[in-house]
Amino acid sequence: MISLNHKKRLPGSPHRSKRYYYVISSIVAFLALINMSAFKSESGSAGLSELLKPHFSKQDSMISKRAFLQVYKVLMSPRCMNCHPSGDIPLQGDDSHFHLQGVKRGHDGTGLYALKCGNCHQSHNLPGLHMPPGNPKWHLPPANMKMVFQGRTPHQLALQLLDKKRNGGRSIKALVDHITSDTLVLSGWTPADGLSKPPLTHKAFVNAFNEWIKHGAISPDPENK
Amino acid sequence: MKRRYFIRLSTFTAGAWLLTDLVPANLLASGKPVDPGFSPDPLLKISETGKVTIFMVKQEMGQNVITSLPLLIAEELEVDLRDITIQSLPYEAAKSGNYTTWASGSITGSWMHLRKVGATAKAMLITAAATRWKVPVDLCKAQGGRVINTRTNQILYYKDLVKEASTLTPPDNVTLKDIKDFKLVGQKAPKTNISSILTGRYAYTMDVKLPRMLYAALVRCPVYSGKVVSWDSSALNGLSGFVKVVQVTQMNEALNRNAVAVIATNTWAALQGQRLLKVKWDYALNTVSDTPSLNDQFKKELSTATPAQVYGKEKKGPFKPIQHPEVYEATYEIPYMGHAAMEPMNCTAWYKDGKFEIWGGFQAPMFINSVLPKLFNIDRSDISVNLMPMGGSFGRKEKIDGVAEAMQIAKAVDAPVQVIYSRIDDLQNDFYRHASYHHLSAVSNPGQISQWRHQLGIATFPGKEISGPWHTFGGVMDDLCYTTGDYQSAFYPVESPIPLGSWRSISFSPNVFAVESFIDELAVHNHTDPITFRFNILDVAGSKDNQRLKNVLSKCADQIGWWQEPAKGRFRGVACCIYGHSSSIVAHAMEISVSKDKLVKIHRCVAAVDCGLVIDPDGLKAQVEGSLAWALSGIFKNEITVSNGMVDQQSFADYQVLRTNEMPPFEIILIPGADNPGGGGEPAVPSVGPALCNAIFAATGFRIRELPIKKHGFRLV
Amino acid sequence: MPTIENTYSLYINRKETRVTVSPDMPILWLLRDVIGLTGTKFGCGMAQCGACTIHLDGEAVRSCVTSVSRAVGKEIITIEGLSPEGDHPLQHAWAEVNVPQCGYCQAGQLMSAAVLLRENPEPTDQDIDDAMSGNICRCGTYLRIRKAIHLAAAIQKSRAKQS
Repeated sequence: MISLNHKKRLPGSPHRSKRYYYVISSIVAFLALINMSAFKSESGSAGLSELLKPHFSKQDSMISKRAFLQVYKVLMSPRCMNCHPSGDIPLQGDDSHFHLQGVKRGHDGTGLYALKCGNCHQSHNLPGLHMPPGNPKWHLPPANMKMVFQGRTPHQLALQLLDKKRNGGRSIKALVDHITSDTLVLSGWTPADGLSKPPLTHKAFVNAFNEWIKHGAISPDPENK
Repeated sequence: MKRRYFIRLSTFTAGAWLLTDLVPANLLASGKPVDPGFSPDPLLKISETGKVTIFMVKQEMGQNVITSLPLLIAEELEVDLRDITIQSLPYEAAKSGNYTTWASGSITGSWMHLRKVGATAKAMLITAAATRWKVPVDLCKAQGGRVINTRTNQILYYKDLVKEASTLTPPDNVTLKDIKDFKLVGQKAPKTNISSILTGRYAYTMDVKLPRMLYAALVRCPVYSGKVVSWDSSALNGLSGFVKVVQVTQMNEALNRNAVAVIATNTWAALQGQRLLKVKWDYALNTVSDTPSLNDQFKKELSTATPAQVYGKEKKGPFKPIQHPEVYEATYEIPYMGHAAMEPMNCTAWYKDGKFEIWGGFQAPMFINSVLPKLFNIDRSDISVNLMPMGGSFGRKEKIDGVAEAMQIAKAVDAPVQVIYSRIDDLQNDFYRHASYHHLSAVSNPGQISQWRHQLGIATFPGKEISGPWHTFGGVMDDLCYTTGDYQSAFYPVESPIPLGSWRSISFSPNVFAVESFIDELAVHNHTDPITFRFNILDVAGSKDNQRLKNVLSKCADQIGWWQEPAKGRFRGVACCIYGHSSSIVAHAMEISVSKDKLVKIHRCVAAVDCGLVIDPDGLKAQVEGSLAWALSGIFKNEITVSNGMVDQQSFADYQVLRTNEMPPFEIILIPGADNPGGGGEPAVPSVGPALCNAIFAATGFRIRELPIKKHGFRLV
Repeated sequence: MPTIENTYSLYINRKETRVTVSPDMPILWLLRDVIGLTGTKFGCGMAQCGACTIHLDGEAVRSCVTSVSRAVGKEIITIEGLSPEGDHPLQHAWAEVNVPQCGYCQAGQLMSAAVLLRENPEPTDQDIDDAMSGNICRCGTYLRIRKAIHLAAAIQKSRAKQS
């Protein structure tokens, strides 16, 4: 029974069009041209969206922002946010309560001492209510790159995702790959018994993410809470 | 006494005491001869090799009777602790009542007897030595497992006196040691079973392993008296280790549930089978079946119904509400509670040649003999019971539901079978601490309470049957410790949808919570310090216990520095309890801070404890520490709720218990007391909750009238 | 649901042990029901309480959710094998402080504490919280466990000096 779960095929990556790669590569090329240090700012005044403005229309900007709000809904769902907490204690359950065992992040994100993630979380979900969900890579972001989602506004989170200093050193392409095919990200859509899935399908999530990038990776306005 | 044999699991020596860990068994007789030794009492045997064995009649579940009770025999017997072995006294149905272990009564109930056992044996050994030396007994004294001739300094070890002592008639009267001469009692004693616990060799009830043993996990009806309609076990075909499915019936309405058991060759297979088995139920709901309607029912009963029982100055008569313009009132809602001992319920049974043998841990094994033979249509002597230590109980294991299940299943297989409860089974098939609803009203001024009414709605089971006073009324009948002028308490039973049982400190936990919260409310209402107010309304002259309570409160106040202002941002609360039936008195004081986002931090917690004469001070402190953890867990986090007749909580995820990061620092003051010991396992539970809630009120102005505290958004840090 | 049993060669308490069980059987039940090592306890079966904690290649895994197949090629140590002589600094400290009450959770507590002490020879109270909050004790021995871990750290240090 467990072995069945273990072998369950994870959804594959969505089909990507040529136009997609064209847009992505042009953004990547564009980003390479400009000074990356400009992306440091959290306020957004000199953020990516500003710098990208000349290349994207007002309509693009609207589409991009709207797409990110979809992405945001997923990232702030318990399946994603619980492992991107604002503190060093992961969250649990659909109500995102503090991890009951008082687990701490540890420097590499895999827990501390007798409370390392892999001590309970297996390589796969275990059947039954309240059983620990599983994935071979189960962990939190490391202490030096916490990638906090909890408490971030759409504006803040969009900027953070694009900032290599705060997104795990990921290029846009790496970011897209991460959300598209990382098994730990994907495991959010095969939650353990009794836990909800994110509000969008994985496919819709990836589509929205790509839409956001394609139309300029514009962050929603700061007042958009 | 029937001859008994034991399968020796292991023996481990370290520390001062020696304990053999034995899984007792009748059916596995090895045929070894029994050395009769010198045994003036069933609880004590001295063998010719010098081995001193003390037999435990009380059941061990963490309260450390396995140390404190043998200590009393050893004290009078004058034996070296190193020479003592402790064993569980083989169970004898005819004396089943002796084995009952509850209500913090082991020490109070048996301490004189145990001393007499030790003293009698000592007197006989001295007589034997004096006879051999041909000197008067007065010239002989016992010390360190030997008799000494004080004139010649000759010595005889006990082992050398076994034969002669065995021929003597036990004296009717023996002199007990003067308390001031105690050498072991009152000192820190190493736990007698500690070495085996720390090396994993201490066998709890679930550790019983018998040849060809099978394991059974049950799918029980989630509604207490629901019935099995049908089941589908097709998903179990091919499950490795699966043996068969057996129906288990509810034998009477207070015993067990209807269920279907999955039997397998190992626990894992049984648990998997339990998850795969589909059972169709007829819930047959016919009573108040969820928590909100239970609370509505309480309100209705209190406002309209005539109480089932009334206590007061006049003892009887109708309930008379207070008719006074200055009446102050408050209502407290207190939920059901589960036990969730670390060792889930389990029981092993073997049916062979028309007889049953049982292995398990029971606070009251007498129920096995009084209830089950009739239901199984067998003789009392057809059930033998092997008593083993429990991995926690807290009242849960006074029930024998597991035995009724295991015996039914054992009849259906040709092997011993262990019924195991998953954590979900354990929480959902508990016998819960009753839910209650308290309406208190009083007329008071800073110096006195002139009128007092306590209306108490209690969930009762089965039906509306009210159990004994300690069980539901403790602390609020005519045993309220405060002087209240015109006094009445009234009880309104409401039928409970879920079965009920004892919970560490029984009725005192809800009742004392209501009373001590209300006393705090009255103190605030009268602009009076809560301890001063208590002093004002304690009739110290009227009762010795009230004098002790005043002393306990004073010591507690002094320790926490009650009479000085706490540091800025810190607030204090206090509460106390006379735990009447085991004559122990406790007060708790807490110093806390509460952040804007309702994080409660307990900076200091003090308990002052007067348990009378203290036998095992370290063990007593352990009980008081444990009581704090137990009570904090309950008051802050725990509640059992019911929906459609079914318990909602399933595991430590939704029945969260206190963890080490939430355990506050704790200072315990043991107040040297009287010449008699009191109980220690429960008395320090009830006052924890109200002390904390009173402190939360002091900090926030928010009065907690509905438990658990967590419900109001507070979190313990 | 057909399940297949496999034969495994496992290293348990420094001994090679061959067992034939289904691959998804948690190590807890292998230890208790198949091998007869009952020192490792069942508390919840959901990795919530820590009573079943063992060492798998030195990590404090919860054996109630960790299948036998995960143990292949790894070393299992249980409470019975924590210290062959029963003289681990933690066992000494636990005895000195009279930690256990019912004792049922203590095997798990010790196995968790052993990882803490190995990785952090001088743990602070905060470190103890960070390591031990996964182990529930319903008897409420938490304060003594804390005290005993500090004591064990001191014992470990003085032993290291002596040797």
